[in-house]
Amino acid sequence: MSATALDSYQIREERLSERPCPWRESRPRQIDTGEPTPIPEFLRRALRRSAPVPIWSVPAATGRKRVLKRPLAVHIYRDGDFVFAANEELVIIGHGTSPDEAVADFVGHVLHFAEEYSQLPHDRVTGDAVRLKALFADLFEE
Amino acid sequence: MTPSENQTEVYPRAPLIEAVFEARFPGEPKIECQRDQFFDAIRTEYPHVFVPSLHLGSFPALSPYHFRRSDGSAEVLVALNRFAFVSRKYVGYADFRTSSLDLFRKFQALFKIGPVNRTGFRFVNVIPFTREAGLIPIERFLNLSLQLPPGLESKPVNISLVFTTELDGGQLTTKLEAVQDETKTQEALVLDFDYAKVQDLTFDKVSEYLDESHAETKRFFESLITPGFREWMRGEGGE
Repeated sequence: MSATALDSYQIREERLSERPCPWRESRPRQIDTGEPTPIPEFLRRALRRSAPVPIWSVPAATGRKRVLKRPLAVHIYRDGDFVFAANEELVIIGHGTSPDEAVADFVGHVLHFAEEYSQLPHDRVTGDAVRLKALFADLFEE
Repeated sequence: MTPSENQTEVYPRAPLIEAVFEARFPGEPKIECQRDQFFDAIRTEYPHVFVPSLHLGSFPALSPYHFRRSDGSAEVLVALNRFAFVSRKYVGYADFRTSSLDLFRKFQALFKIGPVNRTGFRFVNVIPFTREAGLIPIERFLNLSLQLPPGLESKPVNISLVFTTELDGGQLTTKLEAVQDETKTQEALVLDFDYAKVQDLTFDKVSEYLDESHAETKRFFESLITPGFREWMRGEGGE
């Protein structure tokens, strides 16, 4: 995540809490039914579950985006100071010190292996590489 | 499948983390005096009791007791003037409806509530996302854009939006907000719906209100999500 993204949450909270005196909100921002929102305990739990995140396109080195046929499911998680972005099906894990870095690293690996496998003739692959070659060949729109 | 045909589809990757159905009514002191009797009727399924914490200016009788399942997947909220069922393991509307109405029937058998001031149906969704070029790719998930003048194109770095819409049978409040977890690893969009009915309501018709509230909320949700996100929720994209 970039510094801009981190700041944007602080800026938003500051702006939402400020209102010119003596005005106040015409309606409370909270939603009424059940308990107030967000329900911190359950929201935290939902975010902690590390549900897969869809990645819809990947920026190629040329600056041109390559569009995926289907969104890629990426699990993003933290271990100590590092953040990881992983897809088990492609056997790829990217890492970095922020989610943005980890996803960028992940995307770099995806592009690299897509290129590598596309150049490998069928008679040169064996075992799981056969499955991966087919998978990478079907990853991107033309 | 068109959005209107999607009323009963349950998505394997649905972002729903909480569904609530609630009725509010004029205060009934009997509920305070006989809360134990209601608890007896549901204690096998909802054995854990959580009492409200009080703070200066709060009204204890209006703050709900929570009767919770052992695994935390559902709970019942009971106060002097309201009753609610909360599900955190939503496996489809049919199941939610059965559980809700069963509890409402048990509650009504004891307390015989007449007029109702408000019913509310709540759907809280958490949609994890990664940024694209530092921006929230909201158009990937939702058919929602802000019409801004030229030069101020909609490129959201952050978002917090609440709007209430008048519908034929009630009001739908929608909250859309970007959030991040405590470790700043994961970001998500919270998409929170609250469909409220407030006119000429009676407790005996809660099943009608529940069906209507669900249908309206689901219809709005289906029209709000993009086809790409719908495919994703159906499990496209692998693991």
